[in-house]
Amino acid sequence: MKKFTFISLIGLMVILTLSACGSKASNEAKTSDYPNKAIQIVVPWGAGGDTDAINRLVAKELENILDTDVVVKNVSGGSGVVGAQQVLNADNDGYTLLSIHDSVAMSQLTGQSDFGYFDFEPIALMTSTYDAVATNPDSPWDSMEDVVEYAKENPGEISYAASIGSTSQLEPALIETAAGIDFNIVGYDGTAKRMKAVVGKDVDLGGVSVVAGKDYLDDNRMKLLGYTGEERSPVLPDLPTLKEQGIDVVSATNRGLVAPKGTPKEIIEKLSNALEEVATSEAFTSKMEELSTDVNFKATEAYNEFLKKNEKDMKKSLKKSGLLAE
Amino acid sequence: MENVLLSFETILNVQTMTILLIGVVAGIIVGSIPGFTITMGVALTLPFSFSMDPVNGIALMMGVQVGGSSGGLITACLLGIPGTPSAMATTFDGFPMAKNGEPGKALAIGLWASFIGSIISGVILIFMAPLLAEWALEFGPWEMFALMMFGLSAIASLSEGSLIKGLMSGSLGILFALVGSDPLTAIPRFTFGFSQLSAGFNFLPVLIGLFAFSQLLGDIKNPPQSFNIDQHTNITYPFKKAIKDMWNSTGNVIRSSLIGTFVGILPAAGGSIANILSYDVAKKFSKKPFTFGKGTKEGIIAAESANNSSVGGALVPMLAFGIPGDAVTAMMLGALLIHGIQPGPLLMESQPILVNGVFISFFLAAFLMLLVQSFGIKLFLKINQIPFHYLVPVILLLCVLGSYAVNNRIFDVWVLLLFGLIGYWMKRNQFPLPPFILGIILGPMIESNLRQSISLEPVTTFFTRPISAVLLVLAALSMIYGVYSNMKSNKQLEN
Repeated sequence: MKKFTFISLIGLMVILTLSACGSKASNEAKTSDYPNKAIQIVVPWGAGGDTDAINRLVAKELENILDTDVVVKNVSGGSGVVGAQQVLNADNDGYTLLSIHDSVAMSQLTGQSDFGYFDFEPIALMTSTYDAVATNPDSPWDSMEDVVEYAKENPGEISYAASIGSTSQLEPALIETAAGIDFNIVGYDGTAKRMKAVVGKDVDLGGVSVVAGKDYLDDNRMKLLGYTGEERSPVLPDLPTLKEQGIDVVSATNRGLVAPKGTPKEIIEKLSNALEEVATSEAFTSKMEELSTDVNFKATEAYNEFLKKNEKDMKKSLKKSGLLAE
Repeated sequence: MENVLLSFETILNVQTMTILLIGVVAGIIVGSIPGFTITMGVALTLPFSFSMDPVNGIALMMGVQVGGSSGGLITACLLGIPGTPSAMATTFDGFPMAKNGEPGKALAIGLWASFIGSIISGVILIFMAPLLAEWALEFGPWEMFALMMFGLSAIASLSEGSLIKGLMSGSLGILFALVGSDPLTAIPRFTFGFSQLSAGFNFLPVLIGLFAFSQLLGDIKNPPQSFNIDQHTNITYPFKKAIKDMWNSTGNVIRSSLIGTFVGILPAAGGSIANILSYDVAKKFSKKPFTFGKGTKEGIIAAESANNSSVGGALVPMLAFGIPGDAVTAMMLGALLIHGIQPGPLLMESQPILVNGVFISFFLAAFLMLLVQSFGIKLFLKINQIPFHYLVPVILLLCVLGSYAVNNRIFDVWVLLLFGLIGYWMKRNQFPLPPFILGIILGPMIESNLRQSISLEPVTTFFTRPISAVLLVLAALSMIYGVYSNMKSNKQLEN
């Protein structure tokens, strides 16, 4: 019994210590001298991914421009929901920002989360990345037209690897509705895993990133059938877009930054201006080119409009493909 | 060969070697602190690596990883707490050996096994990496599923005493692994409306809770005697003897290093699986399987050479497909991407100097690790002189910090406490913990691979694809053998 008391005492001590850690120092931030302490960018994905890499570059450039520390904090899990939740509840003093992409709306519309773009204050859009549809070199198809033709005759037979619950799931869903065909969509999380599944001939089609895809293409281990951008990619000018092939689909991962709801306008504006400087800096643009990502800066107002349209479009296509949560 | 020499030239300069050394020392430190993982150590180096040139950046991370893999064995042997997840099986024999009065021997054998494991896998990589990459492509979801089943079959032999309790423990592990977003459809499962649970239980706080926190709770109840060391004898273990031990177990060392390297090559398999799997195989191959778990050097050798060689193996899918084998290679991948280097099938041909540079820095890190640890071990053995009531709160605090740092949230600390209590209860009721861990690591991988497989091809494909069929047969044999030897040892106990 005595020992039990002892153990519970230890437990209590730990709990007390922890709750002390949890209490926030309420700090009245003055908007005029913002920023006067370190800014935190929450990246709701693991360290080392594309989103992480891009945000670390943004953070590095922001440090110089705002003359304060900018820290990237990775809070991964639940297709980005866990990290986003943290910022949703954070102080709206401009010292906690969230890196987002289309998955925020995707999670909300498919019923995996109960918040969307406008539960935050959008700051600015930074980049857009497009994908390519890939297959293995021995497959009978040489274009998306061939794929559509085959799929019309054999509905549901062509397997398409996509990470379900994120933007890559949207790709096959959009193609399905635009072309009036059916795929067998199989869950594979992560571009690299999808790529290996395509090269290893485990699946018929998969969405892959253009830089990575180019390498496989040069090695003749992959055929690329279409590009999801509005226009052709400068990296692969020979690859026709889906639109050119009669499939009216444009799909991208659009990465931007948002702040908790109610963050003062002055702060948002200051951040948006600073981010514009980042987006136009030589250091940032050259790195993005290497990652085959388009710098697509939109300041707060334009970003707001962009998100509204993005959400509407996504809703429409999700509804068409039956993924929309009721 | 020319390229290999050129790569040596790029690595063998004062700057890179210093970076490598710093990495190794930092790795040993983070690896030896329970709750602090190699992953955290590497994450700390990530921002620095952005401003270095790619080879140096990778060398820094490599140092941390190799140092860390060997640092994990220190607490595993001395305290029975794995310093990192991949040192779990090291505790099975390392801790009993230390308790039997030979902590120096346990550490020395573990260190040399780590070293030789790294060297063997380094040699394999330098000469066979492109071939191995080709081989890894053969592994579709069917083969991965079969391999994971083989891993899971180890439950049978890791359940000391009661097989039923082992199976229950393993199932419980799989059950906890189900919590969180469905891996294929991202629909939340068993989250009971807590959004914090949508990512599931993070593996690290669970592991620290089960092994470290529960161990500390138990220690509070029954303060352990410090090791039965005769103060007059020398507790350090001479080099010559350690090398001789290795020599006498050549078969075990080579087998375990091969298992480690191959498991490492398979995407997402990682060091913790290599560590347990090779321990289990060593036990099955051993003429004296009953000595396992009681402090045999064979167990330490199998566990430690496998986890270090898997570090090398994991580099292959990272460089060849851009698929990280574990969290650490994921960060190395990030460091490469930021420098505009895109891993892929062409990387090994287009950037041979960089690729071999990565392998060679892995190789050299192993030598530095051996050097640093040879002095370090003497220092670490002094832990025995620290009174227990100082040690426990410090370790507990570090565990809490480590759990928090995994994902920067307090929630994971609660997970640590919860699993500490679960582990404590399980131990008191003679439920073996290793099957639980196997379940929680392998469960999600088995699930996604199984579901991918059956949504692509009919179920019979598992038996028509040769590698998958062979692995499934092995899994069945391993299960039967495990049950058989379990029954045999129970009978011996009765007589």
